[in-house]
Amino acid sequence: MRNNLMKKMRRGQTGFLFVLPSLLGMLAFIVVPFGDVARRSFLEAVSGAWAGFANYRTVFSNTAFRLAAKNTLRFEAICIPLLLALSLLLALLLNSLNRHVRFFKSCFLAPMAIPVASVALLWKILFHERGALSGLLHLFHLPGSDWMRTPWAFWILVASYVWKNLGYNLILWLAGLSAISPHLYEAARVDGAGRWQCFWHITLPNLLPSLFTISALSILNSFKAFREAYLAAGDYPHESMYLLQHLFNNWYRDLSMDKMAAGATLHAGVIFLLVLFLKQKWDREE
Amino acid sequence: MKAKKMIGIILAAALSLGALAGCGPSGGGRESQKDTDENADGAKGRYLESDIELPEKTSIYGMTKLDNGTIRIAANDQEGLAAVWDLKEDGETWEKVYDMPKEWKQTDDFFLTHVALSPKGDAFAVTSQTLEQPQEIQESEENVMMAKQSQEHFYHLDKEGNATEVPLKTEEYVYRLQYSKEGELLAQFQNMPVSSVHMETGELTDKAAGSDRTAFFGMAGNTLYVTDYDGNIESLDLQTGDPLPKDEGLADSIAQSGVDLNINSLQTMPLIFTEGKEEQEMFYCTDKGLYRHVKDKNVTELLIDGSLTSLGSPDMGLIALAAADNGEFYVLGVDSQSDKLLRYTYSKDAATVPGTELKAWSLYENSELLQNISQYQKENPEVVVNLETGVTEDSGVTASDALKNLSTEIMAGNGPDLLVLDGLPVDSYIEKGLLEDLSDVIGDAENLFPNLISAAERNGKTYGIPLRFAIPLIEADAQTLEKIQDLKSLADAAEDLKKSNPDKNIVLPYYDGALLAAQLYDVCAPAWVKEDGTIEEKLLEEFYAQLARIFDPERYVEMEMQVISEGYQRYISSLGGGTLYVYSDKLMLNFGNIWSDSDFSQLATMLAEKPEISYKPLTGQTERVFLPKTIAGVSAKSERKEEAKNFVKFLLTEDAQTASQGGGLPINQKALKGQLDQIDAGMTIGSGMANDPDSYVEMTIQKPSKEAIQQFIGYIQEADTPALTNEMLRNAVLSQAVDCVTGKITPEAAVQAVTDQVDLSLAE
Repeated sequence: MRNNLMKKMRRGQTGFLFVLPSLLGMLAFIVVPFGDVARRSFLEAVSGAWAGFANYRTVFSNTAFRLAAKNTLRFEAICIPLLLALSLLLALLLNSLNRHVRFFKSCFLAPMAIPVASVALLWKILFHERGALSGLLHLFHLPGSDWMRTPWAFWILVASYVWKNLGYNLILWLAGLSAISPHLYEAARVDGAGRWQCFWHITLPNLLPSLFTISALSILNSFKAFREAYLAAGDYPHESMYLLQHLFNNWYRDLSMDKMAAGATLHAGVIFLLVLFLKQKWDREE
Repeated sequence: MKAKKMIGIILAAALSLGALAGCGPSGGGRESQKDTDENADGAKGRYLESDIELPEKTSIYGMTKLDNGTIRIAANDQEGLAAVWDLKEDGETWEKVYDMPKEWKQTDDFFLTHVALSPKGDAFAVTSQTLEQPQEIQESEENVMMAKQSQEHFYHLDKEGNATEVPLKTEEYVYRLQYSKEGELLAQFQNMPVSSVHMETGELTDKAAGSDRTAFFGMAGNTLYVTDYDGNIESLDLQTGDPLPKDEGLADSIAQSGVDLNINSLQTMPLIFTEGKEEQEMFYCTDKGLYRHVKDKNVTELLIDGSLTSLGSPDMGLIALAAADNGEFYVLGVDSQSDKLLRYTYSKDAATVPGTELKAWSLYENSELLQNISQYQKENPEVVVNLETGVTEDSGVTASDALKNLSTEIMAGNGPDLLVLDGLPVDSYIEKGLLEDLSDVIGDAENLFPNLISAAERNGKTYGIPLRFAIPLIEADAQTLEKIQDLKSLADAAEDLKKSNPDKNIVLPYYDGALLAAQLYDVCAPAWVKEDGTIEEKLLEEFYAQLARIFDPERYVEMEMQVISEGYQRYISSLGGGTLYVYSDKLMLNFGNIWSDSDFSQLATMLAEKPEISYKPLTGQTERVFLPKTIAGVSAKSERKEEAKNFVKFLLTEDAQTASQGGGLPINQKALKGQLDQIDAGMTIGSGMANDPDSYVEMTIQKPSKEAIQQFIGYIQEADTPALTNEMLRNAVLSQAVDCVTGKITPEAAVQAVTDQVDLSLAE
């Protein structure tokens, strides 16, 4: 009994030692700096004097923050389900193919290899007033537009995010699908189950652990969509695609560290709760 | 299980925070103040710079060190008579050696253009007589390549100054002349390799074959250095004429110094040489400093740091270098004011690195400030001012990125002591208490225009002082001018003129909407911004509507220009470009900003020669506007506030304010008056318009009358409304103007686009 306990403890220690380097790295480069950000959210920017919750009150009453938060939420609410559904659909299609699977995987992964600056340039070529899209519409005698300066800008951002991350999610879904035993499907078919019933009662429940991982990664990746938006449209894009990162970026530029710290703490808090919620779900499913 | 959960929570937190991290600006690798102080406390010994007063305020042709060690110059006095002078042993006074022939006195069509001094005591001179009928030089029967405007004569002067003409026959203009250590004269003529000149026959012998792409040349001992337009340096043995193996150490050290070898003029060079005492030793000088190099060895040391002396001043051009036997160096140069003979003397007591470092930061390049820094460091050898520029022409850094870098520096405690507030978020800085109140600096300063120092005043405190300014004016015939009282009457006048003068340009034809808006933005924008920072949309709409009325689509000539850099915006909003056309009756209305004495000299010349033309301050939707520029602020977080304030005080002195590089008029009244008084008559300027090949016009500048200067200063004294410094608003307004004036979008749509963009910024 005692020997078993010692063995367990030793195994635990070994595991901890494996985790330790990355844990230290995260503490040093992420957790501690963020702690400083949280501390600064209660201080004045330059003097460092105690400001209490004044920065939070300023942020909540700031219309730019409200707009950016609304746009960010809207972006998440549209992008994440869309990406999950599309990538799952494609993964199921690819999974049912016997040939050319590798080729299609590579095709869908290609956007990930394209540098952000090139994507931003592509946006400009496509969506500029004198760009490809306006040119195409012109052929049909339809008016062109500087699409990045219209409400379409938001949908361009959504499309770009989905296009870029589809391949990555596809691979994750395929990994999840390959882990499902074919015997389960064979047994179900013997019992008379159809395709839809197989998907609903076998595929989907078995993919649930993957769903939570893919959702968490998709949410975190979605914040990187800012890079394309920033490179293509600068500090002040069309208001439909003005995200929290734009605001933080501009606050940093104007030395409004107090507001930025408060806003960032709130933002991180929301993401933290969301990831925690997903993790809890995941643990429960396990 | 609990531990696992805890680790899980930490990982989840790190994951979520990681999504937010990762794109902070880098801190940069600048040495800390503490490090500098430590260095400064330790090492002693540095070359200090001093000006040598020139004889009778002369301008200098050339300098050499004679074989006996005497520094000799050839110079012109104010009467246009040239003489040769030796610097006496005291190093302060000059002794005239001989006068050059009196018939070489400078007249309107006769000039002494070059004098080269030999270390042996003799000299070589070139005179130029302007030809009444330019000589056509025929390259082929069909192709007349150029017309020579003057005839040159070449003379050898012996040690007593007796001149003998050298029968040198060439159709090419002489560019540079220099004697070798052994007394051989080398010459560089246009489109020709460096040649040796035979004094009796005038025969030219190529020294560096194939070097017809020679940009400039120099000598150190028996080595000739020839630099081409690509910056390649070829070295040749002067005695044999053979090319020498490439001195890799020299090439590397010059390349590493960062000097731009493509910047040279007929008078100045970016790189000058002289020999040292040892056979293999040589010295070279650039704007980066003065270096000692041992030939063919990888040994180069920086003796004098250009950034601590006048060598690094942006207006300094280098002409000649001499190393005296007592260890001093003499550099002959020319700055925007006059010729300079600079002496560098080693002081073993001076700290190697000045003990006090002031950090200055400017978003844009600022030549006047760089010039002022050189002046200040010269007067205060214990202080070094390091100016960091956020956006440079070749860096590719955007203004926004530069400001973020600045924020990082400030928050890390490495922020600048002095800030040039142009383009910076001044209100945010003031709100956060970053800027120091400079009321005491203004109290100590003398002769400032009191009406112009209000640009960064808030709640009775002065957080920034504009060191320079521009003033918007309008030029037209007196009758038209009388009718123009505001933006609407300006548009009315433009329309009336269009009707009555269908064949004439009313405004400059290359003004598209953005350029036209740039001319009027400064006198209108202050009216649009309400107290709460939001835009008065009706006034902005009115601006666009009137702009469309002024624009003349029929005469507009499209040019590939974009409103990009700060310097370009300054250039396009200048009054100067159009004055020449009003003067030549090719333009009816001209409005824009006076940025420099050069702009004013054109205006004053036009007023003197065209009494029917008049001018007055431009009134748009606001009146009595001025544009504050180079607004100096001191960081409240600086540990060297007093030193920074002292520097700002210096920047406001008459001496510092005379620096003029086109970045604005001086805010010091005496300096401005001095600049305007010093405008010389005689310079001819010319230009042609894009839509009219026969439109070449020119103007010979006249000295402005006292009345003209007084009237101009009077207008400046009335200005009391600072133009807006919000560049985001400017860019948003200008970008919509292009489509608005052509009717592609309505003024309402243009206003909507501007407010969409600006409201976000204001809401932040």
